Amino acid sequence: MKRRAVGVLIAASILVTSGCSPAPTTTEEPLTQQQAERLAIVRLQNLTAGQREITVEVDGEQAVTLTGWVDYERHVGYGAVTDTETGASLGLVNWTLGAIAVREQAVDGPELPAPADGWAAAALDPSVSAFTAALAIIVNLGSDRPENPQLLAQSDARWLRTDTVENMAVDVMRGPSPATTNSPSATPSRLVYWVNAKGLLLALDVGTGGTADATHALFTDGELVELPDFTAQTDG
Amino acid sequence: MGNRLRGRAVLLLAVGLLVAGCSPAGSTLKEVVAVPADAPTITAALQLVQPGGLVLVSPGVYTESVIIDVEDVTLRGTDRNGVIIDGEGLRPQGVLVVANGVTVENLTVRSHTFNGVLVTGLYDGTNAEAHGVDGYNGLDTEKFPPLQRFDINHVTAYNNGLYGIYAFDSQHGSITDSYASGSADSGFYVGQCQECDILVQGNIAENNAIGFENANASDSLYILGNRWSSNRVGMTLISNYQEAFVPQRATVVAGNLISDNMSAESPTQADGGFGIGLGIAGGQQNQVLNNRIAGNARAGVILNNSEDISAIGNAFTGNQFADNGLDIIDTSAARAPSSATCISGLAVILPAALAATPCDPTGAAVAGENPSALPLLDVPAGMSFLKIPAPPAQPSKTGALDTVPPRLPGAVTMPDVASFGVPAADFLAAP
Repeated sequence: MKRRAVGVLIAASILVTSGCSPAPTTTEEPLTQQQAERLAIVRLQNLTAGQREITVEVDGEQAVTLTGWVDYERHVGYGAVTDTETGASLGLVNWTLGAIAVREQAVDGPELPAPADGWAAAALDPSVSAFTAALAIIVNLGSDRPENPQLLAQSDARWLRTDTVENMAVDVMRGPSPATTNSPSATPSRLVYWVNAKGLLLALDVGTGGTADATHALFTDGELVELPDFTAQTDG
Repeated sequence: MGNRLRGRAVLLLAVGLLVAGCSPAGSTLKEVVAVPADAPTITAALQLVQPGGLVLVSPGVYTESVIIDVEDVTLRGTDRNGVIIDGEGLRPQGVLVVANGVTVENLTVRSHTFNGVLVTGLYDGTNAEAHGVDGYNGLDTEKFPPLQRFDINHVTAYNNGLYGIYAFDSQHGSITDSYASGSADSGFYVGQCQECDILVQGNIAENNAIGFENANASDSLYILGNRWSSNRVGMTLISNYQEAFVPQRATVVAGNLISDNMSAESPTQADGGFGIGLGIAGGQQNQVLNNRIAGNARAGVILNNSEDISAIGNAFTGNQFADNGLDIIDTSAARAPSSATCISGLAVILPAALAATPCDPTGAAVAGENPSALPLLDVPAGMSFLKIPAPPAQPSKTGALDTVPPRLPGAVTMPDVASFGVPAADFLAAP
């Protein structure tokens, strides 16, 4: 289990290195109709997929890495958190749109079925840290409706470049700023999406608008698993 | 590849043909254009067909958004289930009708992010914004007068993100013998018209968030002999301030089956509605007669206000109610209570005042019941509209399919409403 988690982490690191430091001079172009149509269905495609496997790296003084899953029908996430530097386990996290449960005992990975005891629940406040902001954004990346591609094409969303993620060709697009349309972003952060030809999200960058901590998330599809929801309970 | 036309190649072909087809100054326009024999795509065929002509489409999956801007044209598939206009979960519109006198028949439209078929006078030459779409700013009725004359029949529309078959800012048309499922808003929608002269008859809606919706469509709108079953909400008649022509009034709803609107295989309804047969919000002077309204576990009929617009003068006669949570409940808020509701026949009614005087000719306001009187249901999670199972094959149009039909008349010939009795519980059910 631990070995597998490390493997995923390496994959994420590669992605971070290759894809997530767009030079300021990079050419930016308004979205074509086809690009806008694909960006418009990113959240819909997550709902259609139902569940995605995620690996999320959150930079910062204590950089952490989350490996787990998000169920976009229920808007529930579950995963194991490690210290990115040392690989030491920081425990388990389970979250929804509005709540989070944490279990701080060290684990070998995102165990399934999830341990039933030792969870502490609280409201999920995106303003607490880059980590909670990332959790809030990622669990909200599912929707039963597409965005309006015409508005996206007219917005400040931009096509940045082509890339590949896990050998799949993608377009890298920056989302619209929240002021211009009802953007997929849950916070004022700038979101950059790696999207394939079917509108499926393969990776996401959450910038904080400056040079501060950033989040890099990788989305893959694997076997469906049963995710817990301990966010409603409090337990010592 | 044969008839299976795909993605970008189709677009390139269409552009190439468009250039070629426009150059001979229209002198080569044909009365009948076959797809793909005469033109590789429907879009290309519409560049070649003369007004009043026929575009006849052979079976295949057509990955294009079709805009019909040629007057009096008929777009017809040779096989309803085999001619498929596929949005692939990517493109917003399947068939967009913006010219007068157009017929769309005998084909399937699926997997569009907005609408399967949209008929509208609101078109600026490139875009047709519509209700439900972010960025839609409402209808300027002076600038965009209603489209005239349309006929949608034998069309199957499934897994479209807003509406399956949608007509607004349009008059003198019909939507008949069609089918819609997997719509994240409603299967069928008629909105924003006065003196509509529109007939909706013989259609089936199932596994939609709402089966049929009417927002601000009034006068001479007839909803007759349809099956609105196994959606989350069967049908709605609503007044909506976001749209032109408030309030909604004077729709005739007769001989429909509105049953078992409890489908878990459906997208979420925007307001969380589930287990509801007919919802009227701020609708007025509607006649609801001889319908079978059954098996809707929250309520058969919910009467409500829409902001400050009251539900006034709605009449319910000859309907058969069975196995609903409540048959008829008025939950109007105190700011806009209902009045002059008239219910005849057996039904379980709340509030008690309405039950005691179910048909009050004086028009006195009735204090609405608290919505908590409705049974609480365990509402299943909604599905992505792209994941709703495909419908069974639907009956194709019969008769000679290669003949050019006569121009659509200026007014719709409405059936005799009195001929619509209460339908059987298996009305228009799959065999």
